Amino acid sequence: MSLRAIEGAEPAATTVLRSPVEHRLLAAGAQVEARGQWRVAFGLDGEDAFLETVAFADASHLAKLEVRGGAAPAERPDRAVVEVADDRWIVLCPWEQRAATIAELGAGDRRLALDLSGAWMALVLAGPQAERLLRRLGPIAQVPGSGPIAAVPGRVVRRGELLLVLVAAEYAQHVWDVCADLCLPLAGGPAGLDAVTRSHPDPLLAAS
Amino acid sequence: MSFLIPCPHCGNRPQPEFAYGGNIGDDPPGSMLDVLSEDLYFNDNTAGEQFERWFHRFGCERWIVIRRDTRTNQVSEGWEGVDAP
Repeated sequence: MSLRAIEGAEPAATTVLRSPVEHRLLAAGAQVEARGQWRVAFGLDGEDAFLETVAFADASHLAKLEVRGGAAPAERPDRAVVEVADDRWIVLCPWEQRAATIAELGAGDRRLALDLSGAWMALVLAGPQAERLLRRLGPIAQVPGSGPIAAVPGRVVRRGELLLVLVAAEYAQHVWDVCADLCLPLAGGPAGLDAVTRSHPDPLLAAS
Repeated sequence: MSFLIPCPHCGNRPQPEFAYGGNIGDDPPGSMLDVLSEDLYFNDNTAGEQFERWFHRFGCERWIVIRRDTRTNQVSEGWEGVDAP
């Protein structure tokens, strides 16, 4: 099936969208509330203490847009661009901006720009030991870059002091569990995105 | 079976201190849509010398590349980084 077949497909207004790691977040003591169509977790146990070493947060409620062909999409304060191949990118933006972003990126000689938010999981690594956690996760030569993350294909970009990791959604629970295991000896753990953006303000993450 | 790995930072250290990170393939890119997946899931299964990534998890916590003979576990060299020298 061509990706064109799902171009313009929209979730129904009543559809509740959930992170692929929502039950992991609930198990970590998170509260969940509806923000737009997404159920977003916040208030995890011990998250402020974890942020003093290393914390990882789920950012699945960001829109993740598949863009192919044409020139590389421009970075903006509220937009992250992850290169997947020479002519293929994943653009992350706040969920409420996805339609406008698709229209903007799909203009001109672009071959494809469509919403594949459900196909990817975005994970934010924060804290002074974030680089160390990334090294433990896999051999990423440089950031931005790509390589195995917890032994599955992953991409990493930098957002100020934060690291934004992108993996396929089907690996989300696995990567989450590996992060939790690797954080334990570093006195780190899971955090809500609200706590991360309180300590590391970011227009992309804070807008959600 | 254990063997010694020459870490560029820590010297010769026993293999159990390290985590294996896969071999560095030399297949021509482009046969799959995602080169990263190709490198990760399609190993060359070489009988002989190959470049491999190892993570010194109980040492310097750095990724290194070594050249190992898969038939004998003889490691001839080690380099810093994650790409083949």
